[in-house]
Amino acid sequence: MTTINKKVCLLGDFAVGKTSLVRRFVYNMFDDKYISSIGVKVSRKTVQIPQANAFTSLTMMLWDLAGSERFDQVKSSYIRGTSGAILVCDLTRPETLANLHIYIEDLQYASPDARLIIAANKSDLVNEQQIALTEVEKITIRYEASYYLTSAKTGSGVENVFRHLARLLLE
Amino acid sequence: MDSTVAELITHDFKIAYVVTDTHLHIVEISPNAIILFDEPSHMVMAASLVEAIPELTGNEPALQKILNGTLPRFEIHWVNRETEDRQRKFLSLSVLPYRNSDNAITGVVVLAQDVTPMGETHQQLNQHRNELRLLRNQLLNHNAQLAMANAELRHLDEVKSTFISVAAHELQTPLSSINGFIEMLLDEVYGPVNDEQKEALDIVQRSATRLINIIKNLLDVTRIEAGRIELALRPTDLTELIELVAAEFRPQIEAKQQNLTVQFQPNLPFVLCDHTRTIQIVGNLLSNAIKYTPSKGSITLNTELAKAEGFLKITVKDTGVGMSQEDQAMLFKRFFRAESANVTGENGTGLGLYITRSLVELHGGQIWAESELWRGSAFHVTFPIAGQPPEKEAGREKVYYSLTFKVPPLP
Repeated sequence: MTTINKKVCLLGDFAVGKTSLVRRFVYNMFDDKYISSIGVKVSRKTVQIPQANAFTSLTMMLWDLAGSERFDQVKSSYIRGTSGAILVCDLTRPETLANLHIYIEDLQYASPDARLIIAANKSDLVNEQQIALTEVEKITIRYEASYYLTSAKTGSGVENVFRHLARLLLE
Repeated sequence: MDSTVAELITHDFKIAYVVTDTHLHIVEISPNAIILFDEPSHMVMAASLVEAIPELTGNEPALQKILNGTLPRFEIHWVNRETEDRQRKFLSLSVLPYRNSDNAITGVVVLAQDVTPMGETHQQLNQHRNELRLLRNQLLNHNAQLAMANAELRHLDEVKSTFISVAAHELQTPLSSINGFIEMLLDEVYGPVNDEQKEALDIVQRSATRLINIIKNLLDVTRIEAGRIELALRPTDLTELIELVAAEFRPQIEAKQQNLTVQFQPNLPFVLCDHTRTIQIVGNLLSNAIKYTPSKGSITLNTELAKAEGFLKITVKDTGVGMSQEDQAMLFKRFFRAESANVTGENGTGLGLYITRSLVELHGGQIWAESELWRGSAFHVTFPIAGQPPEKEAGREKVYYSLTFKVPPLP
C-alpha cells in the first residue's frame, strides 16, 4: 500500500481552536485551557481513505500555525506548498468568520491549487453562538468549500472535517 | 566539520546541525540534532531532508536555489518541538549552502538553534495579548448588549411616560371641573349649604386639590424625563417671589400654629430664574417644612449670598421630624419617602423633592439637605446671580433688610 504525504495547514484567527482540533484529531485529547501558539507546530496523522477497491494511506502533515501571526511576513513561507487547508472560525466570535477570507486569499496566493474546507468550531457552546449558519454558508458558496460544525471539546465533527479534506486531497 | 568547532557550536550555543548532499539526503548530523527528528538519529541518515524535517515542506524550490547558489539562506522561526518528556521547545531554523574546501556547494546545512527561553517569553506575551483581545471583544459584546437593553428600556420608559402624561391630562380636566363646582357649591351659588354639608364639601375639595397636585407632579416628572421643561430665565428679585410664596402658605401655617420667619441679607443681587418654577421650588420646600413640622414648630426661610461665588442661597429650616442619614442619601430620588415622613401621617408621592432638584439643576443651581432625625431639617438651594439690581431699587435695603414676619399663633 502506498502512503502519500500531504501538507495541510490550519488557518484562522487566534483562539478559534486550531491547536485543539489537531490535538483532538491526532491524540483524541482536549484541554479547556487556552494556550496561544507561536510559529508552527507540525503533527502527523495517517488516515486510510477508500479509493475504488482499495484503501489509500494518506499521511496528513498538519501545520498548526499561530493565529495571531496573520500579518507576519514569514507566513507565506509557512503556507507555501500546502495541499489543503482547514479554515477555522469560532462560532461565538463573528469576526473570526469575517476574517476567514483574508486567510483564504493568502492561501490561494501562496498555494493556488490547495483544497480547502471550513470548520465552524466550538459548536458545543450552543448558548453563546453568534454566527448564523447562513453566514457560514455564504463563505462556503463564495469559495466553493464545504463546512463542518466542529467541537474540539466534544470531538463532534472533528474526524469528519479532516477525513473530508483527506478525500479531497486524493481526488 | 572540524570537531572542535562543531562541539563549540553544538554545546555552547545549543545549535544543532544537519548536512545534506546535493540530492538533499542527510549525510551528517550533530549529536544534539535528535530534537529535530521524530525518528532515532541513525534512522534519519540518508533520509530525505524534507521528510526528516517536515517544516521544510513547501520550501523545496528555496532549497534548490540554495543548492544552485542563487539564494544565500532562508529561515523558519518558532518551530515547535516536544522533548521525550513532553517539554515544549522552540527552534529557529536557518538553511544555508554547504561548501567544500574548493568553495563548491555540496549540499545544504540546516542550523537549528534552541531558542526556547526566548520562545517561552514570546509565547507568554502572545498569550497575554490574545487574552486581552478576547477580553476586549467580550467587553465590546457586553457593551453592545447593554446598549440594546438600554435602548429597549428607554423605549419602555417613553411608553410609560406617554401613558402617564396622557392619563394625567385626561384626569386633570374632570378634576378641575369637580373643584370648580365644589367652589361654587361652597360659595352657595346653588343655594344655602349647612355646616355638615360644608364640612363634607371641604373634604372633597381638599381631596380633589390633592389629586390635582399629584397629577401636576406626574406631568412635571414626565416633562423632566423627556427634557421638555423650558425655563423662561430672567433677572429676578427673589425677595419678592419668596414673600409671595410665604404669603400663599399663611393659611396652612396658621392652621398648625407654626412660626415662619422670612429673612433676607441686605443688598441681595438679582438671580437668573424662571418665575413660575422658582415659586414651585420654594413652595415645595416650604410645603414640606410645614407638613413635617409639628404644630407650634418653627420654620425659617433665609436668603443670602452663597459661599460659592456667583450664587445666592435660600435655606428653608424647620424644627420638624428630620431624617436619618440613610434616608438623606435617597432624598432626591423619585418616589422616595423618608421613614420619618410616614409616621407623621402626611400624604405624599415622593415626587416633590425629585422635581425640585431637577428644576434647581435646570437653573444651574444646587440643592442639598442637612437633617437630624426628630430634630429638624434644613434645605439649601442656590440660584445663579444675574447681576446687581437696577439703581432705581434704592429703597430695597430698607424694605427687605432682615424682613421678618411671624404668623401669630391662632388664639
